[in-house]
Amino acid sequence: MDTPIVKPKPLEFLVVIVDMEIGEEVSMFLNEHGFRFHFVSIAEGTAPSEIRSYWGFGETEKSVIWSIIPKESSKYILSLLENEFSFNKPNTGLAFIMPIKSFADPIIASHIAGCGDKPENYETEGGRKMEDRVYSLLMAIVKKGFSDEVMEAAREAGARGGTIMKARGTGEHEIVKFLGMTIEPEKDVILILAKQDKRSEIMKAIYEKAGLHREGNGLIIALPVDDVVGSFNLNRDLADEANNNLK
Amino acid sequence: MFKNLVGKFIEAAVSTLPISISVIIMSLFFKDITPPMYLLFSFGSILLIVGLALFSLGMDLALAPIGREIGSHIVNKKKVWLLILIPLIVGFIITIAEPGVTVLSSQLGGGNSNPIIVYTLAGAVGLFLLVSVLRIFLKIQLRYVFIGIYGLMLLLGAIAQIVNPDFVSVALDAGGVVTGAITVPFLMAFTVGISSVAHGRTDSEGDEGFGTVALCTAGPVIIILIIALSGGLKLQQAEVIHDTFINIDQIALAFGRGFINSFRDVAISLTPIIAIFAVFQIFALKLKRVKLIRIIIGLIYSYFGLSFFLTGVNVGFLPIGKLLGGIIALSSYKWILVPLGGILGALIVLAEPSVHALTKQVNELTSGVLSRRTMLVLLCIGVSLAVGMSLLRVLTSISIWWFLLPIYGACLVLTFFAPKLFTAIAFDSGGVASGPMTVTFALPFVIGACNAVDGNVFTDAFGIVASVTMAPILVIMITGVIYKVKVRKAELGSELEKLPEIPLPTLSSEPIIDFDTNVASNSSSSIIVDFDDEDTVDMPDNPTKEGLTNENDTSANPKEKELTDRKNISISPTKEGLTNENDTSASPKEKDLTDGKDISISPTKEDLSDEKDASASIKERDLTDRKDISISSKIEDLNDETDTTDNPEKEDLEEIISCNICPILGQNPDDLSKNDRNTISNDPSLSESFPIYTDNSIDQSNMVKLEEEQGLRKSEEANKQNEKIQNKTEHLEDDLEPKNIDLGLED
Repeated sequence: MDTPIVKPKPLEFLVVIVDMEIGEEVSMFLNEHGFRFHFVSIAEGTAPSEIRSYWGFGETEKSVIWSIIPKESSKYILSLLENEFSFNKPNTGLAFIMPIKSFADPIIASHIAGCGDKPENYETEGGRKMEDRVYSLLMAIVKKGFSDEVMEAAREAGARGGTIMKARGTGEHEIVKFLGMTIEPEKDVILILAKQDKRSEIMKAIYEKAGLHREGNGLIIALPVDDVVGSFNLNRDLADEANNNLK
Repeated sequence: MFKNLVGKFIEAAVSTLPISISVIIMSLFFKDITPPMYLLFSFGSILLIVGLALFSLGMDLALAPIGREIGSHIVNKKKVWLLILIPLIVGFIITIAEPGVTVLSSQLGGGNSNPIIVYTLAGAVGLFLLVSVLRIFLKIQLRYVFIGIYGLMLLLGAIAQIVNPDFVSVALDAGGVVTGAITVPFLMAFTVGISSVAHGRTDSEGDEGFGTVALCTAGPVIIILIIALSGGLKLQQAEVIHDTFINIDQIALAFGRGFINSFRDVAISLTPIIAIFAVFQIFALKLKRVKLIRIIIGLIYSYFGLSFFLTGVNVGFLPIGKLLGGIIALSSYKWILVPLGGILGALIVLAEPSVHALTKQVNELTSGVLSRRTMLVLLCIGVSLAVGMSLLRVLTSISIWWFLLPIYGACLVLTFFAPKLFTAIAFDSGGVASGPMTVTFALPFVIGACNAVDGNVFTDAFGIVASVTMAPILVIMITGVIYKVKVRKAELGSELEKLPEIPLPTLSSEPIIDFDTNVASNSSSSIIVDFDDEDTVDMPDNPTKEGLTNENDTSANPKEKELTDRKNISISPTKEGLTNENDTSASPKEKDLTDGKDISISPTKEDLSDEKDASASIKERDLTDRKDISISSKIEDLNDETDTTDNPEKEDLEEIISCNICPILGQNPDDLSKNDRNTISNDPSLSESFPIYTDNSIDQSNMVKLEEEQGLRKSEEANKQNEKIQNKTEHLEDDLEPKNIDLGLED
């Protein structure tokens, strides 16, 4: 007779996007709270409008902190981050949590699940409800230089901002050899957080402007996001809510 | 709003105010510095802030993108002749237009600007730019290139020292002069553009993006030493303006003159870059409108920014620098010059425009390992040592070789110990640190001091630019070695060893853990292919109902929403009925599976129907996750208590259930997609059909396959291992019971 499966507690993926100057502070903060499995990469915040991007007033350097955290703590750490870095104020940063499907090491998985501060009231909180999943992370991977097109389309469809990361295409058909060097085309990866109701609109807009059939050669995918804190669209959302209430 | 612009101005102010304030404080000790001098200097400082802010914006918007675009373009074209010709041309043209080169050539040419010297220097920069590009493709390690070139430089220097010592310091300074404020950011971006596309060695640690500035700094030095050795040079002392302005009119006049000169110089030095970009844009790059506009605006920023900056430095900083140097050297405590020079050196490097381009690039290419602050601190230490060293030379008249040989020797030896990336960054920083601030403030300061102590300006005062180029290299190399040692230590005491002992999870023979066993089950006809059906579940409106709809409850009505905990039980039968109806029409397989679905929830449900406790639901989930079909044989008994509607985990559960069952149940995918379509039809954007990925057939055929496989397997198990299964179910129920009882008591 086999024993019941001891399943490691689930993990989640925390992503924090902040101005580069406070990226280090966020890492320190996560360390202090016992979440020690995180990685930082750098990115660029997009300008809030096209005109401002002409003048160079919009783009800001960002740090993106990727962290693996126990699912139990996910909501707790979001609220901690929100308080510590006042994400509720405009233009400060944002943090969101994505589900992790699987993890390739049971020991490390249970270790990660065991470390970090835990909320005291987790048991009664009972985990996350599915209706919290009102956000998706849109990811558009386009040829370098087409991030402007993507953001333009996304803005028209209701997105308020995005984060651009640089990447290289290493797909089989894209790699070319030249003088013994591998030529890998540069890519822009644009991350946009979108509310579920806007999501398909934004995706469609990006697709039409920079989809695979266009010059930008864009792949557009949506990833599930469990929970979000941040200022990225607080004001507009509140206005939307108020309008809905009036109706 | 204009966070970025404000940020640039703050950054510029933070960079330039320290040097301004410390110069003013120093001046307060000397009566020779008159009030108009302060006025001049203050205006200069303000121009410096504005200029630096605009220029750094311009570098981000125009100079760096142009360099990168051109660099990556010539690689993408995959033509060898382009790869050789373009660096030569680019290096040549941008050097010809550099104002510093004209000044240098007249200084070396005995008063008149010697075109041969200018062209030779320009050719040298082109050649060394080509070397630095080719070494990426020929996969030559940077350390060997550096050892070769810097070794040659030292050798020629040594010969020149014997033949004609006057030239040595001036020649060594030439490198820093030739790579000016526009050349440096452009060259750096150019190399980054090439290296961002081309990848050869795996052990390069990303050093491909660096090395250009270092080589283009060393190149002119070698060329000038060669010309000097061949006897083609006549030295003429540089004229350094030294006026003590008395009244406001003259200040205005000085600035007016300064502005005209700077606007002219900057226009000349920007022209080749604009020309190169225009040619590339028209024939090759064909950038999009947005980018083009941004680059044009960026060029305007660069133009005004650099003009303001140079005016501020030339008119505000140069005279006071020379004056201060002279006054302090004449005072009774001239030895204070050395520490003072150290402080000034640390502060002037902050105000160098190219330094910002460098720190930014280093930060980007090292993904933040060497943050901007770290780089600035290292540069400060380096330049501080360099200026202090130069003043020591002025006061003691010791030969530059006492510093040159040990420091470069140490740097070249350290290339074998420091990480490659650090090596590349270190040698580049040298060329970057010696920019307009060094040339127009630190150099006059030292010349002033040198004149005051009656030293030899050529051998003692000159050479400061070379020192400023050299000292940061050593500092960064040493940091690199320390970094490497630390990393090695950290690797030895690996993180894993400190992990507490954790019992291995049983039954995970596989190294991969799945937290979530959902199976994608849904596809809709839209350009956006949804891989999960959560969307329909959590459409914002009316989640409760949504859940029910998923369960095929056609009788779902508004009332259901109001149903409270206990009422759910009363719905369940109806629902059961419905499911049963479906069951009769469905195949035996399906029935088994429907059962499975019901039962996986039921053991706890039974108790929950009274107590609806959240924590219990976790147990439930566990059960569901395990997907133990074994439980399913119990279905018959538990049929009545299946509804989970009010459980906090309900939606999770339903989702999991539906996902798991969907591919298996015959009717379920259909119903689900029907529901989906209903929901989707409310959303106009989704209802349209798009040219991409509308192929449902694949999914469905997969689904059928899955259905069959899983169904067969599961029904087999259910039939053949009945006993075992019952045992297990009981076991599981036993597990659950204590908790439920506890909860009951609490309630």
